[in-house]
Amino acid sequence: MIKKLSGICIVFVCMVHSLYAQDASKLNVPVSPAFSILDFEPSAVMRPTNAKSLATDVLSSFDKNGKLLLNLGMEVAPYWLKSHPKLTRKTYLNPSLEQAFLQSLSISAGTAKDSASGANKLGAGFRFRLSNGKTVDELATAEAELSAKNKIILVINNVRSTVGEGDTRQSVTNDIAAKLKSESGLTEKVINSVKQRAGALAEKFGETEDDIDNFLKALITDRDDADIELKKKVSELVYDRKGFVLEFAGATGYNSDEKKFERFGFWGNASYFVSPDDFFTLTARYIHKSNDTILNNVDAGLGFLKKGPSYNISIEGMLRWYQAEMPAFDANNQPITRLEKSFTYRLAVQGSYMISKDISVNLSIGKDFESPFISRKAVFSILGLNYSLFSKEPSKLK
Amino acid sequence: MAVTFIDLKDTYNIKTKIKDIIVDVSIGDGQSGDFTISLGKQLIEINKPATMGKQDDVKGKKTIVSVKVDETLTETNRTSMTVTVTEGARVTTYGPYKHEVAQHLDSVVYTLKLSNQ
Repeated sequence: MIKKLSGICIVFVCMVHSLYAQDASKLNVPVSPAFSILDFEPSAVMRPTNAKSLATDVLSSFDKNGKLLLNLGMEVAPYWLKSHPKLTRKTYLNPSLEQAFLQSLSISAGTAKDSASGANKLGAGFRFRLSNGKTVDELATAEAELSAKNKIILVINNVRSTVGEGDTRQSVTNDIAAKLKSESGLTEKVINSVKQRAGALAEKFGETEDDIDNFLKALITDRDDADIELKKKVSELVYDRKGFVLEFAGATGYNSDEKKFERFGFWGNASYFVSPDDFFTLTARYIHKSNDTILNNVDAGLGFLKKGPSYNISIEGMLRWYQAEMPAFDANNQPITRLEKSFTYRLAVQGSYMISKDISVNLSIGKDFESPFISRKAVFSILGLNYSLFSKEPSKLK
Repeated sequence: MAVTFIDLKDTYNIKTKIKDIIVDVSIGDGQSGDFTISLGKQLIEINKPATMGKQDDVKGKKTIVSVKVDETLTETNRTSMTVTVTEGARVTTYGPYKHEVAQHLDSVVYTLKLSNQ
């Protein structure tokens, strides 16, 4: 299945200065901190949703000799491992600080083999929110629309729950129409469409009580299928937030060959969403890497992103204080540790404009961080044309 | 997308002669949904607590609670609902009834028939 095959087939690049690989955004908390700290994306990620599957996934992460398998990832949201019958929609959508933490906490873990050194590495991380903003107005509208459609289903189910001797497919259809008319205030057109659909489905069933029960279940399922796009919309809008979002993450990387923790990082992100497509974000992070060289980065930055129907614009600035310790030799050719402390910054303006569904023009201009290890010009500008060769939607097989 | 039907039966023992019997529904697991509360074939309330009446109004009849839960969260496929019957200070709880749907965006229709005795 081709899920997302998008090829940059033509890139005409204006190299004003030097060109370096650019991150899409430097200001986000990593989705999976454990994978981020290891700098790899595992080939398989397990996402257990209950205690039983968590235990199964943990056990299946080891080979028959009890050794941890490599290139595996796992993400677990502990709160969602069990049912929460007392968690209402209202509480879920407008959580308190404690509830926001519980609902959003996710723990990630990963294993990888370092392609350069061959060392086995383990990563573990967490991520949570303390404030999850507010819902967008469109969610209330979509939920109200879905609720109106659900009322039709519930009226049908009410009739189903009182089916008795003497009832026929026609009598229950008439009963449904009468109840819809008197109790839910629906228009004649909607009621007629329910009757028509009931008439079409009724032919497949008999007249026994069980047949009528199955006929009404089929009618409910049919109506529910018709609402699928609306349910999708509601499900997507749940995650569109506006207002203040406060998020934290942390991760550590362990080298099992050298038996030492060689990386750790902490991220904090405070964002204000004017709308889901228009937000400011303030980020702070600390990254420590300890290999042949030791590097400590402390970053703080501010970004703005705006998405329009056919364009995206992002502006970001980040300050970095770094300290690097690296092996070197002095004038007498004796090994020493060179210590370098400095300050650098990144400034970037990125934009894209969608010419058509499959073609967009992208422009990035700015200055990247300077590195204590590599001497380079950090200014970049990239102009590109992005063309999708393949459809993003999988084709339907007949 | 699939709809799962969960049909449940229970009895409610009326506690007093003079107190109103109020039935309410709570949908859990953060999911969205709607409910109706009926007395026999008569619909009493939609998405609101229903005052069913007093002992003489409900005895020998069935309170029917229909709940449709739409699974719309990516964090979980679980759904649940709880019915409470309040009569004065006495609260009787039915459930929570739970069901985990097979796929995201599936729905569950719970029907609880309470025989009032």
